[in-house]
Amino acid sequence: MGKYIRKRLLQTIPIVFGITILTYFIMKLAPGGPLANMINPRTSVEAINKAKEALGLDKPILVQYWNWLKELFHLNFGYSTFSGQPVLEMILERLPATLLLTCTAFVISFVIGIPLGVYSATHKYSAGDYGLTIFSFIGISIPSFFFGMGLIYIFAIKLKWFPTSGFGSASFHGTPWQEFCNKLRYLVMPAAAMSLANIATVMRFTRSSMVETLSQDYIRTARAKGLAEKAVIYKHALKNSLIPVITIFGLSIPNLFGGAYITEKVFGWPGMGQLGVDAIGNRDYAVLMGLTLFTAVLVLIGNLVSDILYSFVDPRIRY
Amino acid sequence: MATEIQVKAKRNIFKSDGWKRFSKNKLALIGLIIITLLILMAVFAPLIVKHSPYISLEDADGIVMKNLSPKASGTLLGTDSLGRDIFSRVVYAARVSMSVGVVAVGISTTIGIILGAIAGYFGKWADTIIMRAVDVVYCFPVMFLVIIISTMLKPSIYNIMLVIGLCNWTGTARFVRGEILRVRELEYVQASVSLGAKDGRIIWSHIIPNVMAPIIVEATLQMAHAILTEASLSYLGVGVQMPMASWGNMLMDANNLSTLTLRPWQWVPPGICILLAVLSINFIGDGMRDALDARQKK
Repeated sequence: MGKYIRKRLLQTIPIVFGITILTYFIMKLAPGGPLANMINPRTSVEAINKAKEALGLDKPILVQYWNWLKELFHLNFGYSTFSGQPVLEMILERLPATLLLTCTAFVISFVIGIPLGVYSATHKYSAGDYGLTIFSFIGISIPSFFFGMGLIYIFAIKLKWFPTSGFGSASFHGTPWQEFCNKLRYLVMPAAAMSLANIATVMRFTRSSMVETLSQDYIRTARAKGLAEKAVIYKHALKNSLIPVITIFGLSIPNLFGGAYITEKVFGWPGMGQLGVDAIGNRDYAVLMGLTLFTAVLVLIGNLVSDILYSFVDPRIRY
Repeated sequence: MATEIQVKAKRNIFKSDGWKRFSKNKLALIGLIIITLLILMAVFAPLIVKHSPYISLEDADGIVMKNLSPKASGTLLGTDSLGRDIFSRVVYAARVSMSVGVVAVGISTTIGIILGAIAGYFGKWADTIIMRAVDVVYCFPVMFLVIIISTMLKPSIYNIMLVIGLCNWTGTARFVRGEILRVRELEYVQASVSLGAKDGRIIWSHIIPNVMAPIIVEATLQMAHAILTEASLSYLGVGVQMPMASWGNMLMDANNLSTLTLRPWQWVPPGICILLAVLSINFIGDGMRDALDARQKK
């Protein structure tokens, strides 16, 4: 076990380097470079050269990369070219809101997706299974912004059940329970918009895995020895068919964070996605790169955790 | 075996086993019909629409017909905030989505096949380097990469195609590599190796044709994804730019509370079009996968 984890950890080191290299060279693509917002037509050549020297831009590119990497290990993600704030500070400020949203969406997609998948698999080719299949296709095909706009139109504008957008006002005061309920009202629609595609994916994965498990010999044995169908499905089949579903943990992390851009824009949710959307508007490449690097590392950690989890649950894959 | 299948396909595709299985799948057939209609709509756009998608309509008094409902404007789907005919824009936007889907997937599949084939066939250090590169690109949410690169480039429909294509090849590369590792050990490939065929010839004439079917399925599903990505980019404002119409930027245009509340004809039709296009391509891709996968026969 320890050997597998060690090996898996060692594998991630070159990937981390790859991530930093790719990020750095994409950043170099940015028109105007890091000086773009400091230069105007009246800036003298000397001043530009001085600024370049101050930022170390006169050195060879590999040296520049190395310096940037050293800063990175000191957790310096650079400074926003728009506001001058440290990028990491800006990201960390927005992280809780995004984590609240993505974690909620994550939990919802498994809590709803798995039972639906089990139902589909145990009622194979029934009308219910057919309906759920169509639902899952729609779930992965509908653009989240269109779905989100539809939710706002129906539930916020027509029915007035939830607020149209935002995060809950800071001026709201009440008992902790009331405050919690208030937050929840803001959370429901964005979380629903974000989790729909994931519910569909989890459901399809669970269904196909469950169908395969139900055709195994040990299930036939369990039935043959006269176990109740419920016990067969929930005790014997479900546990084993959930093993592959763990891979979705790793797979859905990039999708959820990528989806944050859209969902947070639709619902005015003040998270990392919104920060990114603002950075696009300001052409603030430092913030965009910081966000990308930060997310890539989160995804890497997510994949690592899901692989290690997998090896705990299924000893066969430890190699 | 490869040539036999090809000859059969040339003779009559509608009599092949694959088609028989595909045509039993109702959802796939529905998808095929819808996507055919959308493609026809894109191809014959100028013949279908009455008004240009770029011109603001004016009424008899020369006043621009801004934000009019279908009933008030006398057009099929009403007008947008600049008085342009929504129906014309929805029809012309089909051209954008379809072409972005096809070209982007063309690029990503080509890169994926080449890198996957090199990694799978030559193995050793080529395999290590390419697969580590795949791991790296895989860690970036595709959406993030696409957003950043298209923010930096001049936003144009060609750059969108290029960026989506350049960021989406990892899945195909992994998949092609796996298929090639499997096929490489089969007898007929070993036979041509022992006959002294060159590597390039073995890959192109013997291996690729045999893994083409699953690659096409993969590419189809990727196309649905590419169309969705283009719509999302345009919705965020870094995709296809106004005045060119795209379903995504029509939704961006309508993304304010007053339009959302008062003028549903401006955002529902383009949204439904994206859903229909992506959904039917997904239906087709899934139908093809089932039809080709002999194990899943009922």
